[in-house]
Amino acid sequence: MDNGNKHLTTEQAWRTWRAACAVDLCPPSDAVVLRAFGAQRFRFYLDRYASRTGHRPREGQTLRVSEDKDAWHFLETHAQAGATREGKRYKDWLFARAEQGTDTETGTDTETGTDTWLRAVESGASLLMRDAVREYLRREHAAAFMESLQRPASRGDDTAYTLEELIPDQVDPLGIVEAREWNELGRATAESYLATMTARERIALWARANSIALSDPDLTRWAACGKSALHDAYTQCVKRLCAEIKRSYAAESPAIWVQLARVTLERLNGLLFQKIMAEKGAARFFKKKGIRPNAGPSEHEMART
Amino acid sequence: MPDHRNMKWPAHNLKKARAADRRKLAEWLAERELDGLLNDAGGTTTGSEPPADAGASNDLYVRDTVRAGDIRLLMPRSGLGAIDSPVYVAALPGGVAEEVVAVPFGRYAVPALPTEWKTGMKQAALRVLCFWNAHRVAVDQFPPSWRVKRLTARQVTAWTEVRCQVEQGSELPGGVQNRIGPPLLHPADPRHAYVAEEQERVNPYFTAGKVNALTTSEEEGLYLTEWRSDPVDWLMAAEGREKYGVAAFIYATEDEAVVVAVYEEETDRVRVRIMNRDGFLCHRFDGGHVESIAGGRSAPIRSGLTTAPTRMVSSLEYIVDRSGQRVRLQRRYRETPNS
Repeated sequence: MDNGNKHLTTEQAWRTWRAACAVDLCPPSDAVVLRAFGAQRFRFYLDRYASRTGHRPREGQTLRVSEDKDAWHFLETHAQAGATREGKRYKDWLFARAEQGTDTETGTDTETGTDTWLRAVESGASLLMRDAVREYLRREHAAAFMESLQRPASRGDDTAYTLEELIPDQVDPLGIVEAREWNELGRATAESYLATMTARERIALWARANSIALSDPDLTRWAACGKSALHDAYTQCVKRLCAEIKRSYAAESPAIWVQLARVTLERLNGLLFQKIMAEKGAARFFKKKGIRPNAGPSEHEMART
Repeated sequence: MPDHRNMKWPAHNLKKARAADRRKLAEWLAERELDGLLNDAGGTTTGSEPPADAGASNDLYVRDTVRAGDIRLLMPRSGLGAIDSPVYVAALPGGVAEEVVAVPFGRYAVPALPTEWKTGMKQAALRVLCFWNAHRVAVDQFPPSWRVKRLTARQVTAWTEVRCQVEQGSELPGGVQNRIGPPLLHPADPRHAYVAEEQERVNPYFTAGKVNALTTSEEEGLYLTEWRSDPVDWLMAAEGREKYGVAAFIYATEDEAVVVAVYEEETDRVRVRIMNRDGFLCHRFDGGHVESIAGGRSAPIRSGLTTAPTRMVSSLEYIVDRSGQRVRLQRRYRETPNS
């Protein structure tokens, strides 16, 4: 559709659509622009899905919508929270997002205000279409991998946990004595594992145990990394621990692995309560926050439970 | 790793996993994987500021009065990232006049956690409520938003009741049990990352100016975890903390729906957590207190946390809710320095 600019849509089409209840009530010239845009985005996400999964539709299935108008209708149906005007506030959301200039790309010197606005509203509509396509694929093309307990619960990732591992039978200690024995096992494992952790992992684990967001600017400064790296440090630390437990006790069941991992993490958190001040930069962090460290139970108390 | 040869595991029973829970998780993981496949590579939320109030009215937004029973769409934040789709919240009664509990709706069709609940609404954006990420907020401080729907009185009552049941962690009616998510047991479960994303997507709306506000409350003697935003205490359960934590003293209600854990400090006050049996902070007694046999009282309970004089720790008798209703506590076990 050649509308004289590099965008698929026009500002007029969007504003008309917002004022109307649905694209079917827009003038044909505006409706065809929006439908073409919707179909293009729909195909884009389907193609992305197909290319990343190698999916081929089964016989009799199609991975398309039959007409351009179906894609836009799909977006409208999926995005609305109700049939009334109030239920279609997602349109106001889209426009508010555009008015804020919320697109993360920076404009070029030659980009006009209209271009920026159009880019923002199209990207917002793309987000809505992405969610609609996800729903379409969820309903129409359910994954087959989820049917087995022992297969990795993530397509193409053999290191992913199985359903049986993620929801194992749960260990229920017979009594207080047995609970303490588990805790003692956790303590021994934790002490061994703590020695292998990096400073960043220790900070990340301690922060999570104390409900400190890993995106906290003071925390990331302390850890000398960005929040993504801190998130990764936390995730990798926990995964590595679980992998080592699984490797060391390979003959055991997922119930034992998960129980040992849980009590070990509990003990690790306790050890970190005691040792966190030894981390480089810790004093500055606590001073900045104006708080007292070591607010958790002492290792002595933990040993008693 | 300790020597695994001839390992004798402490005696235990096995609570069998429910097939239904595994099916639910499989369904959630499938949609989660779809989400990842459709996102831009490395697309995540960027940190951003919540929206400023629209100020003078315009045709996009006019501030109205938020009421319990509203379903609202929050105005978008600036600097949105790749996964910032619209945030819808249900405003449920907060038990206090001029306060509501804002419960966000989830992005996916199926609940991820035991504290997420399928509403039965057919609109895609309103299918799952995320009670774990609820925020108490004064009505006049509700973030800028549009009302998109009003719940009926019956729905408000039903949803509020479900919220209380889910937060308490008590034995759930079958109809509710079937509509909540599977338990989060494995420390490396991918749902941990989902929770972090959702917090980053939703929390800035409700914690503007208060994010990461660690404070020391001199009056209550709370250290370190006095968050103005709700602490993410479900992580205790998710990350493997033993059901009753590492507290020095444990009390529970007779049905064990509520657990009161007391942590000793080297001061004259103790920290107290009020949790449901799964380790989630329980908000049912917010505004209330715990009482000792001698009539001593803790500080007011806020977000499931409080402090109390050390002399009370061995003699807690009641937990009292905001309305004054008392629930008797039973001590589960007590640790002494020499035990």
